[in-house]
Amino acid sequence: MVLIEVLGVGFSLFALSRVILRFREGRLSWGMMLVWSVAWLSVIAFILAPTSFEPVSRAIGIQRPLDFMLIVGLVLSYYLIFRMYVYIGEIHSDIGKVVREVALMDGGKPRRVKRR
Amino acid sequence: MRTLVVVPAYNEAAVIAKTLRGLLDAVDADVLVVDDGSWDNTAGIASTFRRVRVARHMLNMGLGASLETGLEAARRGGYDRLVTFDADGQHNPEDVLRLIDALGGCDLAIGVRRVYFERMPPVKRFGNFMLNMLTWLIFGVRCGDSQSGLRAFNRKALESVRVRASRYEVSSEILYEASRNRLRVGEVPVEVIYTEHSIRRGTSVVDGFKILWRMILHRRI
Repeated sequence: MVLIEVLGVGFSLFALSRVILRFREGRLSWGMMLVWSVAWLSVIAFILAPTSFEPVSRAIGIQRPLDFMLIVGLVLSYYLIFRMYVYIGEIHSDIGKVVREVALMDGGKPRRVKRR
Repeated sequence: MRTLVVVPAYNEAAVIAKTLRGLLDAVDADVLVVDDGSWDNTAGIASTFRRVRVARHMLNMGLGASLETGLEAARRGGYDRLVTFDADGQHNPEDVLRLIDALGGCDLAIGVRRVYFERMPPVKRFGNFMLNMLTWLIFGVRCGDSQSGLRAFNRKALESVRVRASRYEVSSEILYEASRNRLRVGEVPVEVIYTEHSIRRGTSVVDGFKILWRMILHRRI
């Protein structure tokens, strides 16, 4: 096993442990725990036996399993960034509504504010 | 006819008193300062004026959010007209009356800063020209000063304009909303008062690119 494989597997196991920990804390649903576990187990499987992905990559027209993993990783990363972008936008909008309601509730009574 | 003048302010403690004094002397209307989470004493100074109400954002949410707070206050308060007026002291308070007069022939009156353009450095003039053009291209609305902070809404405009943009792109979004709701938009030439403070607070080239980016993101299909 070369160093990069050891590091890759080590990091994936660490990530997997975080997934399980968050699930046990109740901060991750069953579904999300399964999705992330499958994702990190796939990474481990790919590091240890890259050729096992060859049938899948060939089936969709990609010759090398490494290219297949990179493309899948890139597409999923972009999708996650998009999801987070939308989510942050929604949170910002919700915070704006709360801030507005509070501002209009005590309009005329400014509180003393501390200089940051 | 009841009028509300909304003054969005963020860290304007240095000039807010002068701006409000001028405004209260010139206009017989209720004034609402929307303090957008300032860390200086903007809200405290504004609240010393008897005829001024202050709505304070707990967090800095941006110009767009402040204007929407002002619009919402006017809707809930049953006001017939709303005027937005920058806190940095760049507007002549007398122009508020001219904008209100203009509402006789339109639903949304925009104060167009003609003199401002003549004295503006070429880079900024080009930037403003580009933002006007982009507002036209992206939102389909032509306006001589799409980024002006001096505007007047009648009741119909107040009820129909909904601001989603939270930052500077709000000026273009208001024009888009006017177009979407088939409001009549009028332009009124207004004066600009140059002070070191108001020049420093002006939109920079970087702000221009931010506005463009956000205009694209907020374009409703």
